Amino acid sequence: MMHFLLAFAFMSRPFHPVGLAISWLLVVMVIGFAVISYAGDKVEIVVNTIRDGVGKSVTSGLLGHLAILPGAVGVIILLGATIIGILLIPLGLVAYMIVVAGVAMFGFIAVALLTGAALTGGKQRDNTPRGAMLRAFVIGTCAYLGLWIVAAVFSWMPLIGALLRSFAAGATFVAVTAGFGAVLRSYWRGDFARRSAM
Amino acid sequence: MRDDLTPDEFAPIEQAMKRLPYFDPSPGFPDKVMARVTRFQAVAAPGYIQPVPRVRMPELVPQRDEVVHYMRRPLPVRVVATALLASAAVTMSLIALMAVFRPDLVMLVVSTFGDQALGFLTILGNQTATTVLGDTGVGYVRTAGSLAGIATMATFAAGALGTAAVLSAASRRAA
Repeated sequence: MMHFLLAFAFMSRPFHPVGLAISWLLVVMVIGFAVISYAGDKVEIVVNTIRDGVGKSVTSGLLGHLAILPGAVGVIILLGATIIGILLIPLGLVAYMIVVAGVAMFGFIAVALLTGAALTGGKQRDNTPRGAMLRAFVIGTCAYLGLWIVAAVFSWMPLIGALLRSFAAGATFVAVTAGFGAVLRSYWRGDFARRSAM
Repeated sequence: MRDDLTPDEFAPIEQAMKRLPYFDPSPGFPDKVMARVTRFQAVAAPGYIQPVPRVRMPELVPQRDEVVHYMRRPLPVRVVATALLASAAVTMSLIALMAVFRPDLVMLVVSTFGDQALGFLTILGNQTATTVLGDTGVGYVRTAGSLAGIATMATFAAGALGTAAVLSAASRRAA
């Protein structure tokens, strides 16, 4: 029995990266649906910011990436100024990382939406704008995470698998960086506050 | 009256002012004058249309989204922001004072935590690279000068540039 389980575990091991990639796809889908449903106008703002200039968004995203660690140090210093704050440093760091991850995910959703909208070619298949957004998001997400699924399928081939994974990593890096920068730029320009005031 | 006049300079002016005739109007003089002045008033005439009070034009009303940044934040937000800024200011001031008066202590702290921070950053970078590229890809990249390492980095760059090009094209299409 034990041998059978070990053999099964060994055989199922090659499918582990594929399962992981598909799991990520599902997680991003669920988060994206929720974000588009509850904050579709905010996503639209970020998409417009990316349209305003991809280079600006990527540059802002790179600067934002560089500022993540100093920001964490800043959180520690700010919380360390008081006795109660010192006790809250671990919680503050966790909250900070959640915020950073949330901003990155929000930006990636906007990038996936923009990419999906371009891939669909502006075909009017949906009755509502929100439906068109969801369709574009699904297509864009499948395009980006499909790279990871393909890389995972070929992960058993030493060189090809590594190259495919590297390609997917480069594509995802730029997508996340552009989205991250676009969110930061939108916030910096006050687009979110302007929309909420209207 | 000028204040810089000397008494000698002011004396002829005083004499001239005393020679002026006294003016003493009779009690009904203002009414007689005003009776000959025509005053125009809004009197409701036959067929007269009462003007509608003019509303403020939209361009004269401040747009809320233009001034939203200058609006006062709620009190708790202001308290928290002030506390954070004050904490940061006090901490940075203490660090600056320590750097001036106790440079040996600052060097000790930097030497103690600097190495740890560098080690942490190194571990973090390795973990991230292994997670993203996998053990095989990281092994290729670490083998300096190998063809597989160069190919791995080239495919990373190709993926990045390709995505940037796709996003640029999507932006142009959407615009």
